[in-house]
Amino acid sequence: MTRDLKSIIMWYLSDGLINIASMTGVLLLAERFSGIGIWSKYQIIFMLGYASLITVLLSFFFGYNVDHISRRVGRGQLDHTLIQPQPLWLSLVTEGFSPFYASSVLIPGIVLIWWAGSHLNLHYTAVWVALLLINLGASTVIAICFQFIWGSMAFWAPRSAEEINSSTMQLMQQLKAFPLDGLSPVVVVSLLTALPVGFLGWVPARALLG
Amino acid sequence: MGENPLFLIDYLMRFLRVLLLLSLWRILLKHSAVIPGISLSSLLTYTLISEVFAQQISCRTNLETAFWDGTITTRFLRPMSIFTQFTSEMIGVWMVGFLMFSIPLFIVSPFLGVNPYPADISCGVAFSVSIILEVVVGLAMEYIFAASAVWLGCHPYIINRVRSAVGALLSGAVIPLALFPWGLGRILSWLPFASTGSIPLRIYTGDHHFLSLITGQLIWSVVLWLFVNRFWASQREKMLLVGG
Repeated sequence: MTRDLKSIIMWYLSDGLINIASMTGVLLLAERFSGIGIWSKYQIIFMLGYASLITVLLSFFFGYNVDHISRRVGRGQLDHTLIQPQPLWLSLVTEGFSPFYASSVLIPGIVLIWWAGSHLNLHYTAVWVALLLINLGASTVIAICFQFIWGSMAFWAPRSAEEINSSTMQLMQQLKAFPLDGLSPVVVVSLLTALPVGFLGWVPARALLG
Repeated sequence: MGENPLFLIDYLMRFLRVLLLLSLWRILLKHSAVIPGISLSSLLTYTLISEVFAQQISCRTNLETAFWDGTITTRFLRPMSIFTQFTSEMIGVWMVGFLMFSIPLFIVSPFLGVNPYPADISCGVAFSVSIILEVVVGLAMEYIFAASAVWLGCHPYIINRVRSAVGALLSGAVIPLALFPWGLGRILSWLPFASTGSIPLRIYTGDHHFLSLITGQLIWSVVLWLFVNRFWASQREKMLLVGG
């Protein structure tokens, strides 16, 4: 990606385009319907901003296929990491640290939160910002754990589960910014346990918006 | 992929996504005013059929993978055109998806409270023509995006992701274009992306402007394939693999 300036620009622009495109659908729906269900337009925008920052954090700290661990396992690349003279977690944390990746979404994510907050009369106190950061950290941990749990299947089925994390990631990306109010209790419980997408937007946004 | 039934989990994920999207439309239309020309029932059918025909709507070949792993070189040596090779493989993969996901989803859809059938027989017939044209347009776009990767000298993975993200939004496959605000949907319906999602799904759910919709697809098919022939031919010679 950092081979030359042209590659950097290409990656940066395309990454921004991809992430903005994935946000736009929800934004347009919120605009058209003045919100989704009991959520107002700006509450949805806040949740969208929050959810986009999860994407940023996942890419920042778990890039290089660490957040798609099934690929590393399925392709036998984990073996290379295991023979390195350092603990596995340290290898994954250092290799996965890619602060430039998805940085194109960082500013839009913050702007969305700021914009929504200004319409929702949020008071950005130190405590509130600390709570935001704690929630972001917790959501990111939940997301990466979810990826690792599903990605572990590649130990048993390297070929058929090699790309399982693409599906789980796609599911998270598509559903994290939708409110879960109004869904049946079984679906809500499923989305807070087996597929915890509710913790990547819905639950933290409810808490942060009071 | 088939040495273990775990690959079926992918279909489970897609099924969950359908459930959530269906729930979302129910919530939206419960709290909002009725959208002109769109009933909840047709919106649910739209979403369901979009997922049943997801492979045809996304219309993806293995071209990106062939660029990535370098096997595109051996493809040129085969006694068959590149287009035929990738298209044949794509259709082959569809069969698995149809058997494992599309047909079961279609069968269980009444239990999800969704009417899976076309609005009427004429819509069903027009849809079958439209979905074929949709694939023709989709394939043309696949080759345009692939040739763009060569032209721009960037990783095909980037172009692939851009196409997926932008295509999903602009085609109206996930969110119907009619639901976009500010009349945006009307503008987007003129783009070729609409031919790869919105148009066949609109026909299926009861839009009776068959002639104009299918004519639009036909025009895009001709225009895009004329462009593909020139663009692909010019970029084929500039392909660089493994840095060489």
